[in-house]
Formats: sequence, C-alpha cells, structure tokens
Amino acid sequence: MYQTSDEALVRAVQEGDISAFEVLVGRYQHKLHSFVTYLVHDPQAAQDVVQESFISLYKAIDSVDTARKFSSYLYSIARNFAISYLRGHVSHAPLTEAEHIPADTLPEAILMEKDERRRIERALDIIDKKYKKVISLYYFDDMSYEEMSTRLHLPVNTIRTHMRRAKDALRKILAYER
Amino acid sequence: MSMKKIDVTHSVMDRVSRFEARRSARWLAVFWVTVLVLTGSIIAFFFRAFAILSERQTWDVLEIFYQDREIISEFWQDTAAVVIAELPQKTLLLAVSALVLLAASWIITRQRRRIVKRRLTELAKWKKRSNNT
Repeated sequence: MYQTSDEALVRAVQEGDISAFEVLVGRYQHKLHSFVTYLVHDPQAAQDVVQESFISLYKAIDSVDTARKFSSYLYSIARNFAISYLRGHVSHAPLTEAEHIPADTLPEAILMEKDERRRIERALDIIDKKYKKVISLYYFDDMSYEEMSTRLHLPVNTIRTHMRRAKDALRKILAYER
Repeated sequence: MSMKKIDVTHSVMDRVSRFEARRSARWLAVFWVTVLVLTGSIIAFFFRAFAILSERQTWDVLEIFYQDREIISEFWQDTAAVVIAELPQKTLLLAVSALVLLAASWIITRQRRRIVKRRLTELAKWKKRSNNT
C-alpha cells in the first residue's frame, strides 16, 4: 500500500477503503504541516489546520478528480484553511512580529492575492464561454494562438479576436467591481 | 529550523470514522425507508386491486376453467376480455409504477450499497485496530 500512487489511494478511498486514507494522511501530514506553519507561523495552529484540511478532504473525497494532481488539491484546501485561520487571528498578532515577516507571506498579502484571484475567476464565469475558453487555454495551459487554433478548429485570426474581446470584457467587469 | 514531527493520523482517522459512521448510517436509513415505503405501496395497491375485483365478483367468471375443455377453448377469450375490462387499471398502474421504482432503486444503488458496505467493514476493522493499540 505504501508504494501505491496518490491517485490509486484516492480511488481506493472513493471505493470505500478507509485505510487508504490513513496512508494518505501519513504520507502528507509532515509536508503539509511544514507548509501551513510557513503560512500561519504557529506550529500548534498549523497542526489544527492540517487536521481540518484532512477532514475536509475526506468529506469531499467523492468529488476529487483522480486525473488531476492530488497534492495540489490537498495543498489548496490547506491554504484556504490557513487563510481562514489568519482572518480570525490576524488582529491578535503583536505588531512587532510583522517587521520580521517577509512581505509576500504577510496575511494581508496572502488574503489580497486570494481575493484578486477570486475576482478574476468570478469575472471569467460571467464572460461568454468561448472567450473564457481562449483565456484559460492561453494563460493557464500556456498554449500559443496556433495551438489554440488547432485545438478549437478555429482560424488564428478568430482566436485573436476572441482574446481581444475576452480581455475587454474582463477589463470592464473588473473595473465595474472596483 | 528543525520542525517537530507531528502525528495527526489517529485524531484524523478518529474523526473520519465518526463522520463516516454517521454518513453511512444516514444513507442506509434513507435507502431502507425508501425500499419499505415502495414495498408497502406495492402490496397495498395489489391488495386494493384484488379487493376491487372481489367487489365486482370478477373471480366468478374464472369458474369457466372448471368446465369441460371444449367450453374453455370456446369461451376463454371472452372470459379474458371480461377480466381485463374489469381490472382496476389506475390502481394496477400505481402498483406497477411502484414496482418499477423499487427495481430501479435497487439497481441504481447497487454500486453505492457496495461502497457503503465496504466503508462500514473498514470502519469496524479500524476501530478494532485502534482499540488494540
């Protein structure tokens, strides 16, 4: 069981094998704890966040897509819980501590990055599906216009037009929300 | 910086086992209540159909099958037509619909039942292992 891939273990859990989940917990708890401690700067709180992350993961295990990388999914959950923890505790942190924390790991920086990403994702959901597709393939899958043209069976100029219209639409939505 | 090694496996699995026990019990309860309600409905509808046929004395026409073979072969089609005409169609339709629903529920939930059964078995194993350590 210990040599089994993460995806095979997730599939086993989805099929009812709870002991496979125990293996996943054992495999990721230390790395996850290190990651969360880096975010929240409190090992004890990090331990609680790690526990909540695993519980939350188990509750949603049936909807986990085994075709995608499992660790990314788990780390996303842990990051969200860490941010929730920071939102609840950030006001209690002594100001002197903030001087020694790198700027990009400050709770506010993490929260702002998360908020910005959420705004963009919301805006993407609003625009036309064909424009959203082009934006996703270009920015998230790193495809060139020629590759997108082949994939979507559209001329390159049409792809360019879609991109331009997608960016215009996003710009208008994001400007309206500010 | 050396990080103290944590071990949340037991506490996580403890909560997972409690959650799964509740969830599986809830699912099984809903499933068996559905099966019981549908089975009860089927029995009730067929019983009602039988009672209606008895009120109409439809069973009397079936006495023809106690007669000679020649009479049966001459009149069985008319007898069948009478029986079919007197059947309480709405009641029987409800009974058959409930039967189809029951069969569909059983088939559709087959995989889920297997998974729930496996989860409960694994839970019992984990609890036993956990109590022994």
